[in-house]
Amino acid sequence: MKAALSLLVLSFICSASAPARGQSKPKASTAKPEAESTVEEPSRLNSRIADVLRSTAEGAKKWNDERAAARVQAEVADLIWEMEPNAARTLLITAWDKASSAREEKRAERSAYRNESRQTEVRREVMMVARRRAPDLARRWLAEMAEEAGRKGQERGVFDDRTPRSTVLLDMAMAVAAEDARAASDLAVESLQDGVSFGLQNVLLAIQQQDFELAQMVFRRALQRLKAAGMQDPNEILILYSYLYTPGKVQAANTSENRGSFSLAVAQNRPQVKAAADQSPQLALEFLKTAAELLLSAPPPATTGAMEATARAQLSVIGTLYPQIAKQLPELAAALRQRALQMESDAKFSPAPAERPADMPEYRPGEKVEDYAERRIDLMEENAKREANPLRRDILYAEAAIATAPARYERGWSLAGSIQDEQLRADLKNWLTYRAALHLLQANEFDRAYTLLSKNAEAAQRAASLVVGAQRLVKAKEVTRARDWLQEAQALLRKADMDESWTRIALGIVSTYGQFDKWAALEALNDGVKLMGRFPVGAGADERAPLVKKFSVKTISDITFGTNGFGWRAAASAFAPEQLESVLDVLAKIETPEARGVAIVALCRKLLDPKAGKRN
Amino acid sequence: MTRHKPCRIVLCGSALAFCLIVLSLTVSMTLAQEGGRNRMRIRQSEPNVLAPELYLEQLRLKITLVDLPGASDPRSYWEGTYQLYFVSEAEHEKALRELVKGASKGGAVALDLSLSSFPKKTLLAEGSFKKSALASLKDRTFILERIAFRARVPDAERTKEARLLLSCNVKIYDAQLKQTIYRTRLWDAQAPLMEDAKNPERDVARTTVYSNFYVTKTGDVYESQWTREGESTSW
Repeated sequence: MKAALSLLVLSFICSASAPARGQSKPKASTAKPEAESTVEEPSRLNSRIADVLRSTAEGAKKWNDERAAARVQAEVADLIWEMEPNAARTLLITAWDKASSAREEKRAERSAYRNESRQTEVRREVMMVARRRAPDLARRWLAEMAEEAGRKGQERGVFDDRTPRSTVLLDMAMAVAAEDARAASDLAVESLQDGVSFGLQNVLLAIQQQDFELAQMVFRRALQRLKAAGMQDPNEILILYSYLYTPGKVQAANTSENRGSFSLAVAQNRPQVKAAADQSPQLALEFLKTAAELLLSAPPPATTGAMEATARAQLSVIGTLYPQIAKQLPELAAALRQRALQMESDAKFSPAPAERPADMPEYRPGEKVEDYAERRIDLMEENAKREANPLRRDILYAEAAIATAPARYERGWSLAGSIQDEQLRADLKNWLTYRAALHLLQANEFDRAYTLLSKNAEAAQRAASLVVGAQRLVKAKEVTRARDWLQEAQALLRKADMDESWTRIALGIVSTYGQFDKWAALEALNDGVKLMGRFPVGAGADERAPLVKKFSVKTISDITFGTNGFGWRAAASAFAPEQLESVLDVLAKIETPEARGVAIVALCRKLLDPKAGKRN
Repeated sequence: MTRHKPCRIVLCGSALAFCLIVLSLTVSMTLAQEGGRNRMRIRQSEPNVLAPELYLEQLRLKITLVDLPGASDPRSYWEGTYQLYFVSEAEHEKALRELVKGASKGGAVALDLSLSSFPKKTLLAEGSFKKSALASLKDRTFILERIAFRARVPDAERTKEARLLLSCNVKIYDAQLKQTIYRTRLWDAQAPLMEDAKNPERDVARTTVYSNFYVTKTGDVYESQWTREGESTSW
């Protein structure tokens, strides 16, 4: 068996050398292991793609960026699994080892809110493949992660998942929920071994969109977990509450001295689902009863070693749940009220009123949101005018300009005009213009958007706006105009002072051309290829338009949310199978091996025909 | 007491891209004081206690840019302005009371700790700095020595709960990020006491007023007024 395995590994290494164009089956494939002997003849295209993939995976062993290597190896393992299962399995194990050994970036700081680990992200990607292809490996690796979590015991942010293992499980559940809600529910239930995580409400919503019964099953398992383990962290109750009553908004328990203060996580793309409590009042009742009992049976704060924080957290949970409990379970509500009174002195809340930021006026009852927003800008402008220190005054004007609505860009410009620092004034005006142009393009107001974006002196922002506009124009069947806009973006790219934003723009141009002219897409790829090597965009990176942030003040909006098409996955979709060799020739010019490998794998994934048969 | 002001809104890249809000109601992103030392040490307040022995003759102001991605790029620079004031305990309490009085019943109050909220204050130091070589921690540290302190504070105001207000406004250009970062901050610190650099669990007579900034690889900025000595460039 050992010998068979060695042969197999050897065959993999031999066949992984750089493939020549048009090369047929690798010689080493003559060593036919039993497990691979029954497979069919592959198509010529798939055979060629497999050669390219194996060569890329082999090259990845030498990459400096271990995470990129692990990602690419896992992806290649997934892609060649049908053709060469044993070699793919070996490659997947290599990917896991690489992901696990990749050192976490030196980042001593931990957020009090949410911490993300790049190692966990890569492991999730490897695990996703393992779950689909080799469940035994997935199980083994999850056990490894559980063991590690027990050893590390890092300080958690209030919106962190319980452990890295639960993060991986819930991320995997999210990834499969749309196509396989049953699998997602299994993963979510597995994550409950570590407790109720922040990401669970996300997954519950995703499952609910497919199958509400399944979502209820997972929810009830979470309740069982809470009953069995007791209330270890009041945030677990609030996570389940958010799923039932406020989908997409999760409140954290307050531990600060300000009674009215709380942290809230709001989904940028709020899920469009009916609140589960409305769909199933029975489920909500079960939850309220369990939550009330847990709160009533929790040890007194004074016995916990963190009296104030515990009392404040429990009081904030009671405060959140009380209205619902009072409506449906009056006896438990009375008991909770009593409990809250007992804890009041333990909490030691500050007698001072809660702080309100100086740039926020008080709400007037019945006031419209837009009116409040205008009053807020007025107040911010007044604060800026009163400020004597020039640098601080400029910053206050900038914050006021940023607080304007995208459509009110003229007011933003006016506020920016009061800034003395020339650089900040110019950068801010451009940013307001970029934001307004994207806003107009969302509404297909092409003429107004074009007039506006032409005023943007920041070339990368103008080019990105043009690409977003071209995408919208293609959808609106205005292909000629879309081509004009893309050509203008390309002209800007040729003259640009390069950075990663331009790589994204180049990929955006490629992907947009790909929607109506695949050969123009190839030319655009050729134009941008030098850039792509120097300023690589990772395969796992989001595909949004670049932010092109030239300045930073305390508050700045995430203006490109909702855009897409500016990454490798979209760019790879631009090409047809008959372009494979031409595209590979262009990609070979990318100097950085990691960037080249990422690009090649993205392309191969798009062009590999899953129906074309397996390979021996 | 070391205070940690949490960020009001933080964007993070989870599956649904959540933004996190404290005190809710705001619409855009803030990343303020944030980082590893999220602890809060509770210190019992001691109102109206004279402690003249804690008022040293001179103070030192130390403003540090702990690290930034483009530190070694000669095109990076940072500049700033500062104003350091002493505010007596009575004046501080009075200003806060005024702010609270202005709040409508039951509502939140804008505790606008702008300098204008404290009409009676003593200016201890004021100035600006600009540094264009940022390669070492020393290069990124601005120090103002010998700020007259004890002599500027009347005997009757040398109490434990008197305050120092440090207004610090900075502009940082990071050539690697190709980004100019602007921050304005008003720190409110206990005047005669500070966290001991060698033992953060105890307080000592204040020798230095600190303002620290740190720029992450992604351009986020952390800020603090913690005691910060030594050569570490980690937050």
